[in-house]
Amino acid sequence: MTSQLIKITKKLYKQNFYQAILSALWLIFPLEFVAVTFHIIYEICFHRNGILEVILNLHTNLPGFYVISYLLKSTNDLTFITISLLLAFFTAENLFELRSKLSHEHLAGITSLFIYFLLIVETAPSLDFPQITEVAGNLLIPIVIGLLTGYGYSLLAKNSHIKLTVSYWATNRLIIIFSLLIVLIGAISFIVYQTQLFPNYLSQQLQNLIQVGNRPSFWKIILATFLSNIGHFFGVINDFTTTIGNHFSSGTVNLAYLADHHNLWKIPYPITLHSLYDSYGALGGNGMLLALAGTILMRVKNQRARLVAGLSFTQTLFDQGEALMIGIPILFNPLFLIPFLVAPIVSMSIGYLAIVVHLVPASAYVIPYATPSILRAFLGTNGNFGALFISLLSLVISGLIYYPFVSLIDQLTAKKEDDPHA
Amino acid sequence: MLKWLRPLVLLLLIGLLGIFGLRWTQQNMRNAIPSANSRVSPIILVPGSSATQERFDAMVNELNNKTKTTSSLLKVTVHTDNHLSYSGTFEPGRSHPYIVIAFENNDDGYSNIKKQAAWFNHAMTILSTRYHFNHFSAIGHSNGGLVLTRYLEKYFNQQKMRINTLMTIASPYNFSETNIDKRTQMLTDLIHDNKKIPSNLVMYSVAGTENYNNDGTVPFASVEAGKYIFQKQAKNYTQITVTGEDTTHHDLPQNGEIVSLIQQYVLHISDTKQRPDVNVRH
Repeated sequence: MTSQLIKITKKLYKQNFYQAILSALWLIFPLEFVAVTFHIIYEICFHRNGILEVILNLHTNLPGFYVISYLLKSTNDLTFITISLLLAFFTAENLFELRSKLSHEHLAGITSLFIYFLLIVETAPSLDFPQITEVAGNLLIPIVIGLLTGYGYSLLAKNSHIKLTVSYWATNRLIIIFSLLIVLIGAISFIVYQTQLFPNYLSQQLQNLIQVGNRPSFWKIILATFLSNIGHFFGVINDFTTTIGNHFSSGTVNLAYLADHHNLWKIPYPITLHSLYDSYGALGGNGMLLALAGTILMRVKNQRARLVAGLSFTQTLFDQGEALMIGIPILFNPLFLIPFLVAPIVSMSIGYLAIVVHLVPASAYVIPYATPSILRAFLGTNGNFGALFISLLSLVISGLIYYPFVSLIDQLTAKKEDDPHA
Repeated sequence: MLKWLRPLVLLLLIGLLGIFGLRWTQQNMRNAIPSANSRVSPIILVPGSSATQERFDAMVNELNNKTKTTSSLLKVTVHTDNHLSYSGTFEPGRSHPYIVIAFENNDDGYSNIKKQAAWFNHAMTILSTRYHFNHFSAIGHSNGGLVLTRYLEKYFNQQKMRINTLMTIASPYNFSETNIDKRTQMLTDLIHDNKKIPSNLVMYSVAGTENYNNDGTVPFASVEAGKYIFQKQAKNYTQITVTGEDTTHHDLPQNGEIVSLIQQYVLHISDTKQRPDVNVRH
């Protein structure tokens, strides 16, 4: 099975579009790494109830707290928008260059960036900065737009005998292309507004399907996590699970019960997204990436993978796996699809069993925001060491699930290096 | 050496975060006010002395007309032997159900207000379990406001209950005393215990004035004395004076101006359509 997986991956590596995506992802990795680092600082120090904020009481002790927090927040948002813009730019550039091997003065990239920016701003539910940032979090859109644009330009370059440079001819064509694009995107946005089919339409419909009933069952939680992780795998960074978790009132009912009785073992709804997904199924962000980072550091020899994992290890401790996803990359990488989907489900099942057989209480306490994932079950159960142990156990088991796949990285690169000589 | 430094630092950091995070979590839970609000948030109405449970009928009618809703009105009288008699309906689905809590013994006087506050607490305990609410707003007319204030200071349990807004209408915090320097026993007691008043309370004290001094029954200075109890203790304390038509003590609850104030500050429903949100932040 592993040899088949390598075969598929290698085949994919030879595709122009896949290479275009990979090198674009590698180009934006440094920026993503910096952005995520600052994002973590914002979340733990400046978010309301962020873990360092509550411990050090920063909002009273740190002068200029609100100004810094506002600056950091807007810088973060802008950086993430820039990242997706760059992704649209580089994907189109790479694909064009790979396909037509021509110099074209970055026309494909500029066009792709233009289309993408116009599209996300115009189809955001409102012209509101956070809303646009949220749409920009979806990395699949810039990649698809980049690929389409790159492909379109390479066709144009093949069919016309003149080089696609800013010559008299090209400028004339470009004016037509850009005008058409503006009208086209305007029309698309118009339709989006008229039909209310915003980019998040599909995920909202899925949410409505899962949100039936007044408490989340084990299977619903598994399904929600599965869907959310598939989304992440294809670059659709979402907070699907959080939104669904917030929908159900079981968490608040639990808290109300705890406020009266202070007994974790007898809370009315022990199985919630908080007690399963947050505590055991998302250590290191979606897909148990903390386990992956650890496994790579322990096992892999590949320099690049080691560098990325070494850099992002601290980030995954704080649940931010995006840099790791982009750097390895895990996005669109068939090697990691299976463990990425399976590891969280196995971990959550372990947590579920432990809660059901009353080995550990369900975590229902309010914990500080951006608590490191390892500590979430521990804090949520009011310091139950059993829960901490179950967290570590599910982490180790996830590491074991990732292990056979991670070792393929070395095999793949070894064969890739052999290929040219063969 | 350097190879072990980072794991060591991370482990230490996680350990510290664990210890202090746990402390915060426990602290947070210990003084947990029921952060989970029940869906139902009734508005409790307390009439003054000599008034019965029908005291607020006109006012509720007026409010329902103005807000174009049909909120239900439940009228409860607490009898001297602690049993409750009910009339009217309680419909939790409506925006804000009203509950009038009146007292069989509705005499004036400090000793009676003490008794009424105890009866009120008894009624609240029963009603909150029976109708499943853990937060409410309250409006007290005349002595009803004094009963509410004493209830907040003596009986109110912030761990189990939350009060959003309190409005007292012409409540004589210093009884009929017109001189603010002469504090009655009740005012002294209320000021003495004011630390128990929840610090998140939004409080409005409305006074009516027929002439420059009083509303025909209660002196303005006595209403104003409320500031010694609430100011600096509640989150907000706002003193509002209403003049003009229908400003005699007994007309005040159905006074158009006061009904508008209740609509705005207690129900939070405004007449005029709000301007659309401006999306681009500056």
